[in-house]
Amino acid sequence: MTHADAEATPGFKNFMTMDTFKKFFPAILLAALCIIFGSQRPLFFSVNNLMIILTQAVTVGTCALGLTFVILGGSIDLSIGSVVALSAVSCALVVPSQGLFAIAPAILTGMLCGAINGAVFSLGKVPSFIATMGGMVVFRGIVLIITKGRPIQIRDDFFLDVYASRSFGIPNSALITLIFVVFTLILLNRTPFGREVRAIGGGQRVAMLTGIKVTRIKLLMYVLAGGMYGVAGALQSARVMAATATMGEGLEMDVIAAVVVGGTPLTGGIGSIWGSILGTFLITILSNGMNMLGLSPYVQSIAKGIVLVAAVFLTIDRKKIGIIT
Amino acid sequence: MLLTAKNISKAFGATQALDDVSTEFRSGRIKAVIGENGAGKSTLLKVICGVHKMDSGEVDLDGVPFTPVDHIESAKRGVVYVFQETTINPFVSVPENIFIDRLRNFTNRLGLINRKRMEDEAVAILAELGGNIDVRANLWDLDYGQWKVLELARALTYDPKVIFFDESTAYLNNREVVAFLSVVEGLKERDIAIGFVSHHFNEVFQIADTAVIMKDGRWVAEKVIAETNPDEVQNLMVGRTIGNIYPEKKTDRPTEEIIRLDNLSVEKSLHNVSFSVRKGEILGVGGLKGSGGEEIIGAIYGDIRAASGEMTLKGERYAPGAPYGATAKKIALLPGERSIEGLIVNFSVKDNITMGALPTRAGLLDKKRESGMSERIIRDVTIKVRSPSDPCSSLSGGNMQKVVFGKCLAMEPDIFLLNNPTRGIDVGARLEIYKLISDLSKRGITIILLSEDLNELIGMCDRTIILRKGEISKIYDFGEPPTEEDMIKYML
Repeated sequence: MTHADAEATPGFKNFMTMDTFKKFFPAILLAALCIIFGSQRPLFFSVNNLMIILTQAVTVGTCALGLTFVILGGSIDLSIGSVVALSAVSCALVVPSQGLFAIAPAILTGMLCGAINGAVFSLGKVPSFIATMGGMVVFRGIVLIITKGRPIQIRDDFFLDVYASRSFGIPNSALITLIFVVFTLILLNRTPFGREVRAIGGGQRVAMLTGIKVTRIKLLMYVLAGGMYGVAGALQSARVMAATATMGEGLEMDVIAAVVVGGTPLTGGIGSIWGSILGTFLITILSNGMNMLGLSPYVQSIAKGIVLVAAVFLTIDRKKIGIIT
Repeated sequence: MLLTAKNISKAFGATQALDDVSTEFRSGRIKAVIGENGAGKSTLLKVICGVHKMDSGEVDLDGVPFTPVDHIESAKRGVVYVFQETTINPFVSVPENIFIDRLRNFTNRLGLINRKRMEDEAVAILAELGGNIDVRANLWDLDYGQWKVLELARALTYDPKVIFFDESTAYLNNREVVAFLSVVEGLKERDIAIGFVSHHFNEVFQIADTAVIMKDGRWVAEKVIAETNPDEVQNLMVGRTIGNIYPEKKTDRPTEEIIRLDNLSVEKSLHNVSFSVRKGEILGVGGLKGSGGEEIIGAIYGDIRAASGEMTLKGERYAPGAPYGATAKKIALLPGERSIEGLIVNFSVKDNITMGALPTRAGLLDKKRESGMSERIIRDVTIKVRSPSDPCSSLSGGNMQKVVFGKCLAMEPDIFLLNNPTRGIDVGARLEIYKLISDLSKRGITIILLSEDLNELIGMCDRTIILRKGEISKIYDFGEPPTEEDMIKYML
């Protein structure tokens, strides 16, 4: 097609280039899933089911907000599920004495875990894949020691009311998550910290030679992510009214999938909070819809894997995919 | 045996890398391929070997058309290309490095490698070359010159008719160069035709028989080395007299000291270097690769740890632990590798420019000031870009370098360290960068210019330091302009 032809045919052909298709593919996929599930099960679009989807999206969503920074910075975190469990445990343990404020020790526990992962990674120069894989196993071990494998029940009605019931029909947990969405949006797009995380993911050597405090920013990015996992732990414990030893097992896979499907490649540097939110809904709605269709968990697992790989296959510029550090 | 290349043209995008170039290579002769950066030397040899596809033209080997699909087929047909970058893998043995692309020739019936046979063949080849390399040696214990000899040994196992060397001496020190060149000269007796790309006239005049001189992708001249001299070759490859491309120098000697180095040493590469730099001067640093210039700049910028010695900045003790320690003191660096160290190529021009100087208000980014900053710098540095949000990957090398330059300027440095700022960029951008450097220095910004281009040092610098093996061998003072021959004398 010559240049003149391109100008002569405006509209869809020009609009729908490969680049715009790639950019909007996650949204297109989400819309397609909604149409499929909605047409098969009219209840899918009921207000009640949409609120259930919101509730289900909270855990993956809050974690994805934190993990977005880590992946943008060119690293990875495999310890998410264990950190969520450990935060939930510390939350459940202090609910009897602190009530509503038990979310604070949960967040602090998450930040501490993040600081440990981040220190091993950025100060100890252990690749993040290995550092957080170690964290995953160690933190889960601590959870098992504290719980001895039994759930720690939460019986404080006020705590459960605030974190797990609904206001004006909307789940409180989703409203709380919204606060953190705004918080991370500002942090990523409106502060030097966000830019520096991106710069490190885009090119660590360049960032360092530009005078960015690379070691410190990498540590902080894990502390921030840990804090978000702590929020997830508190909200999750409120939802199931307990902290359990197996809580969050395998959660990191859903969270990584949400972030990557949302357009943040594992090589870092590019991506957005909005993308990760979109990815979270994709993952959540896929599960929710398949449940409504009555598909067996085994089939669901296969479908999720295929959707993840297909989304990445279709959207990501494979020239930029490299090794995770 | 005769390899002829006729009317070869090759374009990379908008850049005409080769424009109707013809030359030939004869057995038993060494032909140097000479030209400035970007003249098309490597491209010519790469096109002949099939590394790049030519747009038009013809290559004949003994009258038969020679059109390999890649450098491996080219090697199998007798024309071997030795790349500038090392292809030695230090984690495997010497014989494995030599035969790395033909390990299957040494397998037995079970598909396992017969190490004994491979080692014997390696010993035979190395003995012929006389590089004095032990076949059982650990690769880490060999020097880079010996690595190059191994690559040459690998080339010889193809029983080649033609070998091309692309700046094979670029990363070698003086002793290694001498050893390597004597091995190359020995190849003449085997009736091999040799093409030799080098920036170094002394090497060319030492071993070459003939030379083809190129400029801006075009053939300029063929010379018999015995009948020419370095000045003539220099004039042919530059195509203009020096001097008119450099801005006017300042007339007053800068006096106020801004930074001083006392007995600065970096392990193995810099030994007790002391000098002082004055506010607003352009201080040149010259020397062969590996002679310590990179270490001086790296130590000042906090990127390389000094083993001993002291630095004094504006009268105070100065010891940056990392680059952010230097940038906090208003020192900026334009690194040597622009696309790896200088900028993030898939980020926008704006994001790169403001990366080191993000303006904030109450802890939040001030996006208005940020845009203003990037637009001002794009104008000041004359970066040719449609929009500040275009990715840097869409820019030419010269424009990319201007983005790195702009990024440093956004940090408003007092001292600006430049590592080969004009390496690999076209003449137009080069002139603009010279003008910028000169203007900065006239505004009182101190410049330390590390350069491998001697004419650049002569044309730009108020004073010039020459390094040899990590020590200062000569300082040319203000009003004492160096000559190229004199500088080389202090480098070797």
